[in-house]
Amino acid sequence: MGRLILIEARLLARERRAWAVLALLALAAALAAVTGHGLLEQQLEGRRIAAAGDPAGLARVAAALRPGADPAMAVLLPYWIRDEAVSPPPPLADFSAGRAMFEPHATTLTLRARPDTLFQRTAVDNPEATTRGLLDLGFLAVVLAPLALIALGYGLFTADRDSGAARLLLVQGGSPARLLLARSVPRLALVAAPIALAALALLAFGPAIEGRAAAAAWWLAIAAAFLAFWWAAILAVNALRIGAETAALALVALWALTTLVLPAAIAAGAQLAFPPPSRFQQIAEARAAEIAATSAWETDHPELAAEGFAGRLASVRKTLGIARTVERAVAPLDARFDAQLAGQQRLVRALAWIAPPLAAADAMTAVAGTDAGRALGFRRAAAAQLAGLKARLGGFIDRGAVMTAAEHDALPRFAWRPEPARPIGLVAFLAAAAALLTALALRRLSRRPI
Amino acid sequence: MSRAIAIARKDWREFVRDRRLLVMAALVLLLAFAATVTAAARIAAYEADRTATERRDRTTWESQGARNPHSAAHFATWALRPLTPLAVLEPGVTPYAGSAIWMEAHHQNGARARAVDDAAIAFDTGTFSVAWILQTILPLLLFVIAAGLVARERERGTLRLLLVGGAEPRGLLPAKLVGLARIALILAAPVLLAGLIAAGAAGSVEPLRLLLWAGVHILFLGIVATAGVAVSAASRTLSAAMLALVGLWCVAVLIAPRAGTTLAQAVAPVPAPDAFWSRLQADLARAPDPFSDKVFEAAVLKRYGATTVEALPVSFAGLQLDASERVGATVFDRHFGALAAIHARQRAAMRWASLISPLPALQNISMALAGTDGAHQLAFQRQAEAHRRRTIGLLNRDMADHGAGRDFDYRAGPELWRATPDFRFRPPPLGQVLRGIVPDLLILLGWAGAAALALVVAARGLARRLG
Repeated sequence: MGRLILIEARLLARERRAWAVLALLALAAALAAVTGHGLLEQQLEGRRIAAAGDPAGLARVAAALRPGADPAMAVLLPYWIRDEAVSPPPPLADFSAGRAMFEPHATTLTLRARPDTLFQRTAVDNPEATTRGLLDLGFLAVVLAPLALIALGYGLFTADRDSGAARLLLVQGGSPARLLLARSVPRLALVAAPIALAALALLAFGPAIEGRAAAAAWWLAIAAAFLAFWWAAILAVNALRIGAETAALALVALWALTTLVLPAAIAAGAQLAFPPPSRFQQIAEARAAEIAATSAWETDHPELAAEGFAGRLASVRKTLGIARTVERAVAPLDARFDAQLAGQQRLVRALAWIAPPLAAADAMTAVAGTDAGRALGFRRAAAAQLAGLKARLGGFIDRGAVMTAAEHDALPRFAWRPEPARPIGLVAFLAAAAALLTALALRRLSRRPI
Repeated sequence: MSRAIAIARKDWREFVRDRRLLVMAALVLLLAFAATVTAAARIAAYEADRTATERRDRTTWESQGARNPHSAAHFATWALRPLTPLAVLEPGVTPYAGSAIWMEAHHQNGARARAVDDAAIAFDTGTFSVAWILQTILPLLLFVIAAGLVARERERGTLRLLLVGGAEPRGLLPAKLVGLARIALILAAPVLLAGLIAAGAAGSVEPLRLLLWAGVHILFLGIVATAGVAVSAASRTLSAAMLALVGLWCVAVLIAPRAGTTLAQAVAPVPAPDAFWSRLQADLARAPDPFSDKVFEAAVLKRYGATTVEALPVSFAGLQLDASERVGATVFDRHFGALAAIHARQRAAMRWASLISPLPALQNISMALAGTDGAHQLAFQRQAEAHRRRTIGLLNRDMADHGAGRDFDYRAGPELWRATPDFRFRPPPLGQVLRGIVPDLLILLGWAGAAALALVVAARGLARRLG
């Protein structure tokens, strides 16, 4: 068997088409590695800056916490305290960028913040670049690699059938299973090698992030299962009694349908089935509630509102009251956003089974920590932390109490640890589908090879 | 000529008889109509929502009662970005760009409320739209059809029969191109027509803009068709032609635009958002503060010939706020200007991807004509910022003029709220848009020339081989 594989590998090496595919994949892998490395570095830098917080603000808080600090200053402390909510670094953003380019990864939790405005002042990316997307390793594995497999495999057996050489080959090579295996190994290796090498390079030269190795193992498992699935589909098409031309056409059509059309249609369908409420309406609701709750300017400058402890306490109480009113007014709409987004995710996950590239890409971004689910998890965790922080800080204002250093130190800090994704179901599904399609192809070829 | 028409007719008959291709074509048309209908519905809903919100917010603004102008400046107003009717055809950057800007005192805010924030999918191969069909799906279909036009004839040996029938070897490929162009036109025409009708129904559209948009897409499809016939003629077998063309499509449509993004990030990296905002805040904190600046106070006292702030005929706090806005504006201009310069360098870098594909240039033209490109987004942000400065300045000056001795205790009435103008986005005029896309138009024309040259070379090669 090894000898047969070697012969097929040598024959493949003589094909210009194989070298063209390899060159294209190698170029794409190099681009993907460069892109991914840059993106991950940017993600880490952004998190470092966000975690450092505001030194001037920290100094102001420290001054107000010192024993003997002016109570009129200390009463404003709840409005000065900041908790930097920073999402843990995505372990494989360099493999699958997913939504990392435009999802916020940090926010500042303060008594002023509202769940609906927590993530609104972060975007500085170039929308023209974001619209075009990135060429990352995930794109290479899910979109380009199957096309490369089709290029190398559409005529795996159909071309021999067209030329009449199939009968002779079967006599020389033994069973169709042996022949197909011998032809499959070098072709699969040719496509998988650039992806694997780029992945290894990223791992070797990338930063140390908690859970990175395990995530990479899962990512590679998905990629392997996905490529095996595509190769099995190619074998199945080869087993049909069709010519190479029809095989190529059928495979390209299948690829276009599952990779381009279905994901776009599913995304549009999810938006139609679970339309998010209007962001404009959310803005208008918050403003109407705010204007109904106040007519005073102190909401934005409590430190200038009044002199003395009592005056400032009254001012911050008023500010807090207004904020609570606005928050109550927009809370139902916030909940609807959350529910609709979760609904979209459920529908996309359910329908992704009919579009394996979508399911694979979804799983890859999930293990990479750049999927929509993780972004939503971060938003929810930040909103929950904000609610807790506001309850604690608001308590001081409600009681008219001045916070002590010990109470300040006891305030909970944002510490969210998402559960790492383990897409065992998808890997098993793709592997099982690959095994089934291969078995069907071999059975058909064994019974009626020509 | 009649021979060419006969060959074109023959190719059309073969296309119609090949049910595989016919089914694919029908699916593409179905997709295009679905994309048109969903885009038209989405944009109609967006615009209805936007105008309703603007009306409601204006009512809220005008009915805020007696307030200090600076309190109102913090409450402020919002700029909501309208969508052009041509966004039905080409959504461009709009799903990834903010559609609302809070024009509050002290801050130049970024645009927020992006559609992509409310979508749950991470696997993005394109926004479902007419432009996506014309730029991504239809070229693939045309390549698949083109692959067999010459290569199949050669494989079956019918190519020589055509020559025996009187066809000129050099005239064969133009005839094949005419045949493919006919198929392309029949496929693209309903897509374009439906899209143009939907765009026209969505609002008032400049006919020239619409014609240019349709024209550049027809030119692009012409390039695709020409390249398809040339590759088919240069290939020994149909399968080889199909794979070469699918590979070409893969590079041109899938890889080139994304490679452009990689290049852009390498050439002009956008700062991390946290880095941008923290540097901006640090600069603001370092800027002169009229609230603690004694030089500013002295200058004001001198200007009004007063000896104390209390003796001023105007509100000193109002003047301080006004001066503070001007100081802030210089910091914002510096930082947002630098960011816009980075985006412009990125655009130039992304244009280099046009060396390996005409698609990036076409996308630039398509988005610009549709009013959905980065330049339109930047225009929206700049106009919103200019409006913010005008409005906040108006409020601050009112406080300065009428709040003497009362400062933050001064209350303005509804007449001031009514006097503040609404934000109205004025898209850049067509002339300006066209000037911005001249390089892209030249690139597209260059590609058309290159495709024609490839066809000539392929025709000569074919004539030589058959000769």
